[in-house]
Amino acid sequence: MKLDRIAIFILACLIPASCVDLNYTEETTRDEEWTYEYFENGIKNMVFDVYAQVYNNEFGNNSAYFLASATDEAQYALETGAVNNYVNGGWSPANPYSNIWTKSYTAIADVCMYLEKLDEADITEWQYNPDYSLWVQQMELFPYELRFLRAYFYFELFRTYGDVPLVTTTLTNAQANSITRTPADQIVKFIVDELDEIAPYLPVTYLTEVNSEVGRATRIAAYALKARTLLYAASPLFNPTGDKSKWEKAAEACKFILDNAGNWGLKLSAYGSLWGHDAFYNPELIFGLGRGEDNAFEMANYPVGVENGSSGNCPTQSLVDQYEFQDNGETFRSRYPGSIDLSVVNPYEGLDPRFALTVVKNGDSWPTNNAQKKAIETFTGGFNASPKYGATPTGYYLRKYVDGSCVTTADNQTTRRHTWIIFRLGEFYLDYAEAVFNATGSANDATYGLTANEAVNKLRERADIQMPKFTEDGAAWVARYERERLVELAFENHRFWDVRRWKKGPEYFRTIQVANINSSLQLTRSTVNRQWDDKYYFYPIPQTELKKNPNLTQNQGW
Amino acid sequence: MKKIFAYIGWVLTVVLLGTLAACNPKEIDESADLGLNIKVFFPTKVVAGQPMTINGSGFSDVTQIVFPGDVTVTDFEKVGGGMIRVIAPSGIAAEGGKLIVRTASEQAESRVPLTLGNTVVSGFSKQEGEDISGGEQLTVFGTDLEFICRAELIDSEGNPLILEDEQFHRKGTNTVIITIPKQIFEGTWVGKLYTFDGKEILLPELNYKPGGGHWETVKTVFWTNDDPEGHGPANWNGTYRFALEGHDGANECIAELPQDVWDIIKNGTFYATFQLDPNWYQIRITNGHWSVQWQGADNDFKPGNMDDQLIPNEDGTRTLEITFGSDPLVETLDDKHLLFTGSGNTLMELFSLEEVWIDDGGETGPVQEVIWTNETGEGPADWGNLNYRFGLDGHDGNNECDATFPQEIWNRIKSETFYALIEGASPQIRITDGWWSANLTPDDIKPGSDLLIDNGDGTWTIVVNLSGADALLAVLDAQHLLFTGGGFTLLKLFFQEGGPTPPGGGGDEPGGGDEPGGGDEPIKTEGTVIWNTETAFADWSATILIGPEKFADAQEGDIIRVYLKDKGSDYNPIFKHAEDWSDWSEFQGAKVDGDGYFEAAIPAGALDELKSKGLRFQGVGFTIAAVTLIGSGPETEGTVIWDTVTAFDSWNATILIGPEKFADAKEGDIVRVYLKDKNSDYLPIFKHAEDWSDWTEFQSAKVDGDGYFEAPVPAGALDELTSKGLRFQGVGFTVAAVTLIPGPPQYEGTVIWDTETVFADWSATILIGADRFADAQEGNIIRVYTKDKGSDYNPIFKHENWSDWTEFQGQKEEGDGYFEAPVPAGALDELRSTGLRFQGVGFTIVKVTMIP
Repeated sequence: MKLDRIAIFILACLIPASCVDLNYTEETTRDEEWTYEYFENGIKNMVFDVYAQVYNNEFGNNSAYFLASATDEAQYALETGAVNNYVNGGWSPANPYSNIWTKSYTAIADVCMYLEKLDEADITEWQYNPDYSLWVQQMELFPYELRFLRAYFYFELFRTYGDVPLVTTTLTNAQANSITRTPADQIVKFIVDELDEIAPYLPVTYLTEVNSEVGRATRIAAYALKARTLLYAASPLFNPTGDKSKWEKAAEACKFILDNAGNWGLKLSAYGSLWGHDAFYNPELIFGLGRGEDNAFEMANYPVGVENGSSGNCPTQSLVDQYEFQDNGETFRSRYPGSIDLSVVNPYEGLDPRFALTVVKNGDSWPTNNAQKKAIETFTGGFNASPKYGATPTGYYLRKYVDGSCVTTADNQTTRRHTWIIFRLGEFYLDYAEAVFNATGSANDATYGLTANEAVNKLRERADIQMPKFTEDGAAWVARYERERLVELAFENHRFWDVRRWKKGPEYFRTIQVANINSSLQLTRSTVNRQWDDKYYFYPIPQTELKKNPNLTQNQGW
Repeated sequence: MKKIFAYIGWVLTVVLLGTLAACNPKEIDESADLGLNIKVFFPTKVVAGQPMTINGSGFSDVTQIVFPGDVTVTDFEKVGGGMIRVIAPSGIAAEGGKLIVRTASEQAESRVPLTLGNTVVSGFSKQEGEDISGGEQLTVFGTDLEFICRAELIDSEGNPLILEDEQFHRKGTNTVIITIPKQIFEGTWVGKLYTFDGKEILLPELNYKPGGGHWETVKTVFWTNDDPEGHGPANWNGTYRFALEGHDGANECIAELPQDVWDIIKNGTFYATFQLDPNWYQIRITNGHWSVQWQGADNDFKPGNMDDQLIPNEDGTRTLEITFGSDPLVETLDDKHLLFTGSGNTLMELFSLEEVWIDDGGETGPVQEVIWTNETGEGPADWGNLNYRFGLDGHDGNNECDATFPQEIWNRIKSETFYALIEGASPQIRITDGWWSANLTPDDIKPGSDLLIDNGDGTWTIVVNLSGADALLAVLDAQHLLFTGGGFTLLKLFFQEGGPTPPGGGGDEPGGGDEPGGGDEPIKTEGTVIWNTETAFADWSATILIGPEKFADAQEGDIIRVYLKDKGSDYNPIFKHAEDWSDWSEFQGAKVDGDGYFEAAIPAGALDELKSKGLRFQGVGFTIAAVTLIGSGPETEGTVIWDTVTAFDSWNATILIGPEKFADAKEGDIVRVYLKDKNSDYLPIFKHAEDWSDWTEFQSAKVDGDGYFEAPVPAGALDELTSKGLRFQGVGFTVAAVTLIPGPPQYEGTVIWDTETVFADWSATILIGADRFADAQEGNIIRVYTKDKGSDYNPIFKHENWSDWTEFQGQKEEGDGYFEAPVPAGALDELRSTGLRFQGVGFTIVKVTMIP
C-alpha cells in the first residue's frame, strides 16, 4: 500500500504548479483524511518529509550542492560543473541556484500545514494496538520538532537572502504572491524566540525515547541553531554598525552549549572519526543527516584513474597553505612560499594532522580499500593527473568525507553510510571564540569564563591534533582564527557562508592558488581568477518568484 | 532497540516545484486578504503564565486577545502579520472555550477550544525516605506536567538551587525527568516544583547525597620559606613582611602577593605555619608600621596566651588559622603591609584550604540506554533449564534468543562496557556463549566479584566488557551471548555513559587488559585497571586517590602505569602520599615516561602504605585516562598470546587462545606456557579448541622447563591453530602467561639485503646495489621477507629512479611472510647496472633473497 501511495505522490509532485493543491483530489495524497488517522504511514511520514528536506544532496553526485568548490577550499575538476557558475559569472537571477529558497519555503509551508492540522489527528481507532501508547508519546514531540525545522529553514533563508518573507501560516495563492520581505533582524528574533520556547520540550537525547530514533531534533540542536543564528546576526554582513550587544548574545548562547556539553553527553572526537560509516554515533555530533549506504560521493570525488572516480571537488593550494606546522605554528605558505622540489623534500611532513585527513596529495596511498588502493600520482603525466580528462586542476584530491573503503569498481562495488554534519560541538568552540573576541575586544578576556584563546585551544590540544596554542590578540588573532576555522571546518559547508558574513569575499574568493606538479615533481603555484562581485554576499531572489509577486524586491546588485 | 531514524534515504523525498504556498484546502479563492482569522494556536491547553503562539491572518491590526472567561489581554507581540506571541493570563474559565482576536472593527474566533490545564502529580520514581544522589534522575509522573517550568532544590552550600525547565532531561505531558545536580546539599529535605501558573508541588522527602564525586580539602600554598636558616627566626624585626603586588616600592617585603591571594588574606581565612623555639616564642601579627595589631595591642601568641590556637603538626611545626574579619588591621594592610614578627618563631609557609569537588565518574551523561528489559518476567536463571540468550539480528534461526539486536547495538555489546541489572539474594552468573564453549571469566561471577555491584536494594549490576574476550567474541555471532547460572533474574541490559560506578579493576579476564571507562575511544591498557575515570589535571587542585584495596595483591616490582589522554606543555605529574599529599619520592625517582603513559615500579618499602592508605596523584598538564597495575610476572620470551593469570585447580578450568593469536605462527615456533604455581597434581594438557580432546601432536612433544612447559608447533597443526585456536586444560598449576616464540627463521636463497627496514610512509626506501645482481639470471626469484604487515600494505618494486618497475610489479606474488617476483630477461641489464629499489607502505622488510 505504501509504495502505491508513494507512486501516486511522486506523480502528483511532478505536476508543475505555482502552489500545491493540497485538497483531497486525485492529484495528491498529501492531505487526505487518512493521513491523520494513521501513525506510521501518515502522521509520522509527514514529519519525516520535512526532515528529508534538510538534506541538500550533499552526498549525491551532483556537486552543484557541494559549495566547497565555490570557495577557496576547492576547485571543481570539470569546468562544466554546475558549481562553477558561482564563480564564473554564470550566476544570475535567471540562474539563481534557487534550491534553498524553494525547498525552504516548501518545508515551511509543510510545517505550517501540519501544525494547523495536527489537532485533527485522531488515531484512537488504534488504541488497542500494542504500540498505541508509544505512538501517542511520539506525537507529543512532533509539534516541537516541526517548529525546530521551521526555524532551521528560516536560518537558511536569512543566511542566504537576508530579508525574507516571514510565513507562519498556510497561505492562499494570492497571499503567497503578495507577501513582502521581513527584515533580517526580525527573522533572527523569530528564530531565537521559537527555539527558546520549544527547547525545553525537546529531549536531550532520543536514546531514551520511544524507538530511540537518533537523528531527530533535540534540545541541543535547538540551542545549537540559536547560537549559530546569533553568530551570523552579529557578523558584519548583518550587523553593519558593529553592535557589540549582538556579539554578546552570540557569546552567551555559544557558552551555554559549551557549559552543558558534558551533561548532554557531548565530547570532542578524533578528527578522522567525524565522518565514515559509524560517524552517526559520534559523541561530538549534535545534529547530522544520516544517509543510507551509498558510494555516489566516492565516485564523484575519487581521483580519475581510480575506477569510476570523477575527481570532483579538489582542494586548492590556498587551503593547503593555511595549515600550520606542529613544531612552531608556521603556515605551509610561510615555510614554503615558492616552488617546491617534491623529489628532495617532503614539505607536508609535520603539518597539522588535519591536513592528511582532509587532503590526498601526490604519493598518498588512496583509496584505502585493497581493491583500488594505489599511490596517487598528481604530477603531470601521472596516473591520476592531467592530461587525463577530469583530473585534478589543483594537484590535490579530496579525502575528508570520502570513505576510502568504498569499492567503486564496475564489479563488486561496496557502499557505506554517510553522515552529513549540520552541527557539531567543535564548531561552537570556534563560534564562541569569535563572538567573545568581538564582544570583549580581546582574545584573552575571561569575562564569560573562557577566553577566546582558551576556546580555540580546546580544539588545538585534542590528543590527535596537538597543535601549538593560540596566544595572539588583535588583528593577528583574527587572521589566525580565520585560518583555524577554515582548517577545522573544511568542507563542512561553513567557508562559503563565513567569508560572506565577514564581508571578505574579495580577500578570499577573488583569486585562489592551485598547485601544478610537473613530471620532475616540481610543485609550482599558479593563480586562478574567479568572479567576485559584492552582490554575491546574498543570493538573488529567483526571477520566477519576482514575476509572481510584485511585492518582492530583488537583492541589491542583482 | 535503537533505530537509526536518519536513514531516510528510503523515505520519499519531497520534490515539489513549490513556492511559498501550501494552499489551504478549504480556501482556494484567489483573495489575498482573508481578513481576520485564527488558524491554530499552540498549545491548546495552557495555564496562566504560559507562553503561547497564535497563527492566522490579518493580525497586524489586532488590539485585543480574549481568553475564555472573557479575560482580555492587550499586551502581546505580533510576529509578522500571521503570528502572535502572548502569555496566557490568569482567570481563564475552567471549562475553557474559544480564543478570540479583535481588531477595531471585527473579531475572529479559533476553530478549536482552548482548555485550561491542571498539573496533577501522581507519583515519583523515588519514594519518601529513599536515597538519591547527585547525578541521578528523578522522574515525576502525572498529567499536564508540561506546565512544570522549574524545580527548586538546595545547593551544596544550603542555598536555593533553581533548575529551569531547559535543564530537565525530558519534559512531557505525563513525565518530567529531572537530573539532580552532583553537588547537591547533603541531607534529608524536600524539593519543590513550580508550574507556570505558580502552583507549588512538593517533591518527596529524600535523603540527598552529593554524587558522582566527593569533596576534598585542597591546600593552596601562597608562600614558602625557601631559606629558613638564612632568613632566621623573627626577632622583633621586619623580615617576614608581605605586600600586595605592586605595593612594595621601598623593597621592604620578603614577598609580594597577587590580588586574589591578598583578598583571601584580608577577607577570608588563611593559615600560617611556624617553626617555634621550644624554649620561648612570641608571635605578633601586625602591619609594617606596627600601628595596629591583630588580636589587640600587645596581645601576642605565646606560651600561655592563645597558644591553643597554634595547632601542632607532625613535623613539629605549628599552624595558626587566621581570619581577620572586621579587625582594624585589614584597612591598613594595602598601604602598610602585613608583618609577622615577635621572637622565637620562623614563619615557614602561608596557605589556604578549600573544599573542592572532585568528580569521580566524569560527566553526568545521559540516562541509561536500555537495550533490553525483561518484560515478560522471565526468570530466575537456572543453569541449563533457564537462561537469558541474546543474539545478532538474523542469527537466531532456531528462535532461541530472548532478543536479537541490530548490528549497531551488537557491535557496541562486543566493544563497549554495558551493564546487566539482576535481582536475587545469592546470584551466581556465568556469561558465556550459547554453546558454553567460551566463558567471559574463568570463575562464575558471585557477590564479592569486582564485576558485581551491590545496589543495596536486592538488585545487582553486572559490569560486562567483552572487548578483551577474544575467544568469546570469535563465536558470539554464531553462538549467541548467554547469561546463565542460578539465583538471579535478569531485569535489563543497558549502556550508561559514566556507568553506575563500575569497579576499578576487572579482575582476571581472558584476553588481557581491561579498557577504561570514559572517553570516546577506549585505550588499550596492559595489566589490571585500578582507576578508570578520565580526570583532567588542569591545575594543582586536581587529584585522584586510588584506594588501598586496589593494591591488595600488589607485589614489589609491579608497575603502576598511568595512561594519559592529553599532555600539555606544562606536563608535571607527581606520585603523592595518600594522606598528607607530600611527594612520594620513591615513586617519583623511579618514574619513567612512555608512549602515552608514565609509570613507576613499586619499591618494597611502599607496599605497606599502598595496601593501607593507597596512592594519590597530583600535578598539572595532563589528563589521566586510566591507571593499571602490571604484575611483574615472569620474564617471558616471545610474543605474549595470553597474559591473564588463570588457575587450573579443577577440570572445569580452561583457557582458549583464539586463532588470531596464531595468525603469524609457523611450523617450528614454540608455544610456551609460563607457570605461576605448580602443585603436586600438576597435569597440563594441550587441547583441541572445539571438542576439547587432547592435541596429541603437541602433548607428545611437550617438555617442561624452569617455570614453564612448552611444545613446538607441528606443521600439521597450523591450519587448526589459525582457524580455531588452542585450548589448555588440566590441574595443579596456574598459568601466568603464554607466549609464541618464533622458531629458527628459514630464508630460501641467497641473502641480498638483510637490514630490517620499516616502510611506514612513502619516504621509506631501500636500494639493493647492482653488485648484488652480478650473478642474477632470468627466472631467478627475488623474494622479500616481510613482517608487521599493516592494513595499508602496498609494496612496490621500483627502478633506481623511483618509478614503478612494472615488469616486476606485474609478476609480484604474495607468499606466507613474503612477496616475490621472477627476474624478467629485460631487467637483467638494469639490475646489474643500477640495482633494484623498493618503496611502499604498511610493511617491514626483514630480508631480501634471490632464489635460483
